[in-house]
Amino acid sequence: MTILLADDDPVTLESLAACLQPEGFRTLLACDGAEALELWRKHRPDLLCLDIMMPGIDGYEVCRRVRAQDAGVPVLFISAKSEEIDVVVGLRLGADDFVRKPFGKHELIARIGAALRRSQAVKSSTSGFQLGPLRVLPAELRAQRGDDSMDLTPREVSILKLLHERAGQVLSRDVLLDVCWGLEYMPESRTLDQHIAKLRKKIERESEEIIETVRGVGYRWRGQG
Amino acid sequence: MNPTQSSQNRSASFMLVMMLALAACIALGGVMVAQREVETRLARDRAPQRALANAMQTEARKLEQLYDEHLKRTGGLLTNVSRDSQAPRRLAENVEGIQRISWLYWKSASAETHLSLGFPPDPPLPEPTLETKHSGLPRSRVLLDPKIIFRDAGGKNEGWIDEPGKPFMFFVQQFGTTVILTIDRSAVEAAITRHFRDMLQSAFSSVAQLGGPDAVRDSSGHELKSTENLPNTQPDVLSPVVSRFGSWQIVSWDQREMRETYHLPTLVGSLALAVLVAVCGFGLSAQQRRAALLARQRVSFVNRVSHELRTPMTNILLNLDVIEESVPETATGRFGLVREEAGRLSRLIENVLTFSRQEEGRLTMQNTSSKPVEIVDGIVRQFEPALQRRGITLTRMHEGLKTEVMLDADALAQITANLLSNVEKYAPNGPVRVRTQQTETGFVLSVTDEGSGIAADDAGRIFEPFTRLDDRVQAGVSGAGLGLSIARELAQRMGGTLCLVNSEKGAAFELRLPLNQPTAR
Repeated sequence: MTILLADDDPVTLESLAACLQPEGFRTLLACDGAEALELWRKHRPDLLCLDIMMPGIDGYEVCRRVRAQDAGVPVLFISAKSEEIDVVVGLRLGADDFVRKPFGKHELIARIGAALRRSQAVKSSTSGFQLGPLRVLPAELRAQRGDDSMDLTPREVSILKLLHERAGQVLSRDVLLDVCWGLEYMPESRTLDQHIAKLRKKIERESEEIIETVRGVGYRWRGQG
Repeated sequence: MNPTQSSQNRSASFMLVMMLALAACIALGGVMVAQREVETRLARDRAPQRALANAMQTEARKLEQLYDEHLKRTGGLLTNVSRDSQAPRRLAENVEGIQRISWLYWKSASAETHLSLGFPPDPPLPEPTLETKHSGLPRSRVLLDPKIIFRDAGGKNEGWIDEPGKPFMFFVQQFGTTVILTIDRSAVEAAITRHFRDMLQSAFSSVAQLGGPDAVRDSSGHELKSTENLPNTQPDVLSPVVSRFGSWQIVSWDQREMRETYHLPTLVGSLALAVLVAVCGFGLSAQQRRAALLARQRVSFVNRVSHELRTPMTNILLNLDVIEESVPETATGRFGLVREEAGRLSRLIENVLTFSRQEEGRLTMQNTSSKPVEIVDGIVRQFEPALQRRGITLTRMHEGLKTEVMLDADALAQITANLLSNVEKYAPNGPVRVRTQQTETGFVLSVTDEGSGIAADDAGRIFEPFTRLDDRVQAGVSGAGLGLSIARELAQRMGGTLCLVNSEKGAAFELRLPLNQPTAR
């Protein structure tokens, strides 16, 4: 998943990227509207997060121009402006959501996930794979368990996907990091454990073990039966 | 211009209009009070009236003399006629106005005799008498002095007895006998009036040709002759014609001219007062506008500052999330504290912004499709570390649906956070229950703690902005006093309620919201 981030505040821009990258999102950074449009034309990201007040071309104008050519790509406004009129203008221009500052990483990821799910649900019929009691829907960044639905990040989806593809096999930490984080990314060893812990908290019920820890080696999903 | 601004401007304009209306009323009232109508009399030529009055007076005297002679002659004859015959009646009836004939005697044993003419008046006329002592039936009588009516006693031959309290009488005495004629004055007056009426047919023309208004009136005010269109006011000139039997008047009015004028001190005073009120109105209105502008600028300043705090706040929160995973275990406690304080600062900024939006009349709800249970859960998760540190045990319960509904997620989050923030401040070292219930039509959030609770007297005040209970201030609890006020305002704007409900111990707040199902995208 590629997300285009556009904000004239470099600290905010860098912070946003730092939040999203560990969760498996690829980020494109633009510090003004013109750069945002150029990056969008070049890379066609899966989602755009736009600040409103930017030098030159503002966020509203970026949204209007993007919408003129692509009605489907999710657009989120991220702004300290939060008056009703700002929100109304943004939504009328075709934005999918309006995230008011201040916000934290979890709120941002939840909003991005929700926008992507809505976009994917419109684009394609629901497809996915079964992981024990879970139905994982990668395109919608969520998993379904009966009537309960849980949001997932791209990183979590890729971990579950790998466990599903190699059902019954023990996946070493290196394999998981190489496949899910990429060869060029050098996360700390603790990062994988923290992600797995968070993922278990999301998908496993009490006294249930979907992701099995193989001490000293890595993790495994035993597969059906 | 937002609704609050327009309301403040309307209020200032209304006051100005009222003051100007008051000034106009004062000016108008002053003009009305100062207005005067001055009447000027234009004197007329009064010679014809005087001439007519003189002519009538001369005529009245002539008639008096004539009447006196008639009475004198008739009285003389009556002293010698037989009292019992019809002769006295015939003699008397030839003279106008004789009501009674009385025969009185000087030093004689003859009884006093009375003969009434015409219809007897009511009350009966008193009988003239010389008797100081009277026997027989009691009757109205009038005692006469013999020294006046008998020449032998030093009196005159004839004359008038015209004294207050006595009938109007004429006496004639001859040879010790006095005839007293009781006269009906009004009958004589009426006869003279008739005479004047005939006389005026020609005599009044000299007066009338001047154009009037003039009139001749009898003693009762009845007009004998007049010009047309007599005014209703009192006459300006009055010329009397007087006789023993009555009086008449020639009345006359001068020409009048009405002119409007103004009482200058009243006029100037009222106009000055009106100008003063109008100037005060402009001054007060301008002052009110200035005060409203200052208030708006203050709110706007707070708004801008809070607004500017949002971006750095976001950067702090995002970076705290970024470094969370790489914080050494020895520093996780401190890290948690920093995160909680950042969250608290963030909530404070939101509360101040919400309050300033409310003050400016710009607070509106933005409904989106969201799950209220998850919103509450998210806030509860944020508060868990802080509650734990304060020794608060949190119990979370939910009943009913967990579906998506249309509501303002930020507002619900803000309400929940403000309620939990209160628990954190005021109910340490105890349990707190956060219970939610969702149905097709409504959502209920109740937060119940077992802290010191809220006294019944304070229950009404806690939802007022900037209200903080005194004992808690002394206890060193921080806060701007905005949380509950904003929470209730948001609840009401979402169409719901936020109430302090009865609980056995501590404080219990209950939020009730009506729900709308989201429309399909």
